[in-house]
Amino acid sequence: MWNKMKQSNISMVLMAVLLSLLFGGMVILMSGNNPFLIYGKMLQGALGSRFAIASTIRWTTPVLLTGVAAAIAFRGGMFNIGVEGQMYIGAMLSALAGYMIKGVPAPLHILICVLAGALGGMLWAFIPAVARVYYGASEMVITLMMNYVAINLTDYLVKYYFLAGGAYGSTLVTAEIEETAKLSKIWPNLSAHTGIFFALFIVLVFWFLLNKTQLGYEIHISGLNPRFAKCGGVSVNQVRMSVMLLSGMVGGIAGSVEVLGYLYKFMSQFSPDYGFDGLAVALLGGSTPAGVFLGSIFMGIIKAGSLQVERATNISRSLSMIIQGIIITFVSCKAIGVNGIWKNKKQTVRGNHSGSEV
Amino acid sequence: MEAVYSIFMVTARVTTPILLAATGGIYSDKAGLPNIALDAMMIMGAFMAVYGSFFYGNAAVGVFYAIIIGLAIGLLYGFICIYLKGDNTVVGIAFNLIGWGLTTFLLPVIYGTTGSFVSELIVSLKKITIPVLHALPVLGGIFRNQTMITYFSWLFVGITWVILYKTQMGMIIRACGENPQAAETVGYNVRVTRLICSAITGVMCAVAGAHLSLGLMTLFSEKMTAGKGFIALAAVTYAKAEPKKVLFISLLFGFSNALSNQLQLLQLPSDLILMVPYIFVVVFVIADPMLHAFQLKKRKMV
Repeated sequence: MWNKMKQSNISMVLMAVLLSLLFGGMVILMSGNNPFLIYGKMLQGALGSRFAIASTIRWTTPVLLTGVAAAIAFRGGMFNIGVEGQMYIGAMLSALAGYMIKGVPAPLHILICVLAGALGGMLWAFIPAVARVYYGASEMVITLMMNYVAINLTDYLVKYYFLAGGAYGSTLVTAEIEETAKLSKIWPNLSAHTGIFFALFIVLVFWFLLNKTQLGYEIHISGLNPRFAKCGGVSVNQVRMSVMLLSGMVGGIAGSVEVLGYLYKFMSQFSPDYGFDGLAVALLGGSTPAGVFLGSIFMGIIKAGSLQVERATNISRSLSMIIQGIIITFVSCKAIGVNGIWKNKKQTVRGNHSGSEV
Repeated sequence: MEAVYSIFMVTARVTTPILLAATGGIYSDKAGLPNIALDAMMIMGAFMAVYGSFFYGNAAVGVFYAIIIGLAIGLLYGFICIYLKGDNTVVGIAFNLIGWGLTTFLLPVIYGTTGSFVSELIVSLKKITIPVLHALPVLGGIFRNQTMITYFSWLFVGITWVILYKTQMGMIIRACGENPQAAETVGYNVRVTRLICSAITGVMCAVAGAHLSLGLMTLFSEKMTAGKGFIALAAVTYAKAEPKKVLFISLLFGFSNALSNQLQLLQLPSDLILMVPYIFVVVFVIADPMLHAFQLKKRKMV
């Protein structure tokens, strides 16, 4: 995946952004609104005030983490679509740790909750990892299916075992976590929380892992060319295993940070497809730490902006998904950019059958 | 006995969208351009089917609209991946985002509602019972009260198998997937073949979507595919695009879905039951290669 994406350079990405804003503008025009006005509102809603910036940070945080989760797997040659499910399990476990453990000092409590979440995500990724590494079952299919299992399983557990009664009425939520487990807000009464620093720390760790450690090198090689890696003495299976576990771990942490920083409880079906957003960010950023970082900030801006647009006008927030989708499409097109479409025409077609042969 | 009938009836009904989308996906996969935007094409098909049915008062128009949009998206996907050299996984993911986003976006623009659109003016597909076959002892349920699309989906798997393995066209498709250079050398046009296959995939997924919004239900709601496109994708990926295996996985999912519907009558927790189909697939996908490995080991020992 990574080697397919690395050719994209800055000028291509800029071009893609421009083109997608153009197409997005056409969609807005179709709905009978003025694109410039809407884009203006979007920008204002994402960066125009302290409230707007807080909102952008709040939406960037989970995507940053799920983006790293997806990127780690991609780099090691695995396709983990199950970040969403790993996130649910992580969020659930860390919410439980948040309200069941009492009387622990704040930093320790937060650490315990995050560890619980990381462990949960890792556990959920363990099954597809084993199935792929030892039996050659498609990790893509299994992680995908396990998303639905995770969502329904957490629903069930909350409904029958951990339901908070009282103030929440019939919504499926657990009790609120202890004060000691909550991540503090960056500004009082605004949505941005210190989880963003944690997420940035994870991105740094990801960078360090890839560029400064032996495992990082092995991940890089086995993702790029598993056969070559094997010849060089790298245990590709081991690398794949660790990549999946790390990916699941970060996915779990993403859920955990969302609970500790923003929701303060586990809520049934809390995620508006963070896992999928993470996948998109990883692809957009070529699965590099810097790419994931920039991609998620961009995602956060679009999301916060389109929420503001929804509040101010009759345009649905799903506009953000359309724009994201168009951008990703254009970024992946190698033919747009320097060479132009028609110059490539004479090249022979290369096979790109799904990667089951490795 | 009625329970058995109804299990088979529901199985056929629930299997249809997955089977049709997955069978459509076979063409792309075999031609060497795997498509992971099945879900997007499905939901766009569902949306346009409701659009046509609502404004023209005719379900057939709805299905026609779905076919048109499926064709358009399939061709666009093919064009982007083949001629603009987009990576098919990345473009697929992007298309899914656009599909969900666009349908959610257009819902208030066209109908003025959010979330879901229900109206008495949407005409659903006619349910047809096949005269003699519906009285069959156990399998009769399959032929009772089904839409045309359901019958077509069964037929289409067979047709696909014949096309792929018994005709020259199928051979060309498979050649383009297995060894594009060789196919090119012999003189087949790999690009056009892939484009056509992508269009077939698009149309079939969109018709599957039409079955969702005009057959299973008579409404459109946000994200109403609920991942069915991804289940179809899982079926194609797991089956390595073999029609027989695709049929089997789709049936496995449909059957376990119907079974879980029946189990709900037993007052078991519904969330647990909703997990059943997915767990079925996970267990099967893991168990199959596991058994293979086990057999190999046994053979080596002997």
